[in-house]
Amino acid sequence: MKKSVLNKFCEFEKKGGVFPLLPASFKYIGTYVSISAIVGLLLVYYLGDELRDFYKEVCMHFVLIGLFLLVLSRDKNEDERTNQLRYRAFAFAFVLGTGMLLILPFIHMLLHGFYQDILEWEYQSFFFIMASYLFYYLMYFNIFKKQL
Amino acid sequence: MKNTIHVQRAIHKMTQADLSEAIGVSRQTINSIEKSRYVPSTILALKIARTFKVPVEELFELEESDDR
Repeated sequence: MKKSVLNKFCEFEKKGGVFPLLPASFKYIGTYVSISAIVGLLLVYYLGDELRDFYKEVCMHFVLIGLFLLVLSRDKNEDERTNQLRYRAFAFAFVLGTGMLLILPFIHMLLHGFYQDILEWEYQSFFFIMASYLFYYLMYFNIFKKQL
Repeated sequence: MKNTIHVQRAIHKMTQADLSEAIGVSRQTINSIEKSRYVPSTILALKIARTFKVPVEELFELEESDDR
C-alpha cells in the first residue's frame, strides 16, 4: 500500500525526529547569511532614495532566510533529548511570540495614545512577526539546551 | 523517577562519554538523565539496560510524586 506523505512524516516522528533537518553545516551558512544581511541593512542607508527601499526589503528577507536556516539545521549532537527540546522551544516560541504580538498594540496605545493609524504600525509588519517567532525559537532552544 | 545509572556506570567503570557512545546519544543527554532532568524514551531506557545487562526496573524506579 502506498504511504501518504503524512504517514511518512509520522514514521519519522516515531523515530524521535521533529522533521527532516538540514545538515549541521547549514548552521554556519545561516549565520553567514543573517550577518551579511544585517550588515547589508546598515549599509543600505548610504544608497540613493530610489534604491534604498528595494535593497532594504531584500536584506530583511535574507535576514529571515538566514534565521530559518539556523532553525532548520541539525545540532552537532542531535538525539531524542534535543528533539524534545526542539518541540518545547517551538511551543514556547509560538505561545509567547503570539502573546507578545497581541499585547504590543496595547503597550503602543498606552505610550502613544489612541490614533487612527494604530493598525499601520511597524509591529504588524511581516518582517517583525516572522523575525520574532524565529528569534524566540532560537533563544528558547539554546536556553533549554544549556539548562535542561 | 529515580535512576541508578551512575551506580551502574561505576560498577562497569564507564564514563558518561563511554555510555553515550555505546548507546548513540550525546554526553549531555546521559548527564540530564542521571540528574533526572530528562526522562528517556522506552527505546533509550532499553538500550541503557542492555548495555549494563540488567532489567530496566533495576535502572529506573517510580517515585511517589509520579503517582499523582
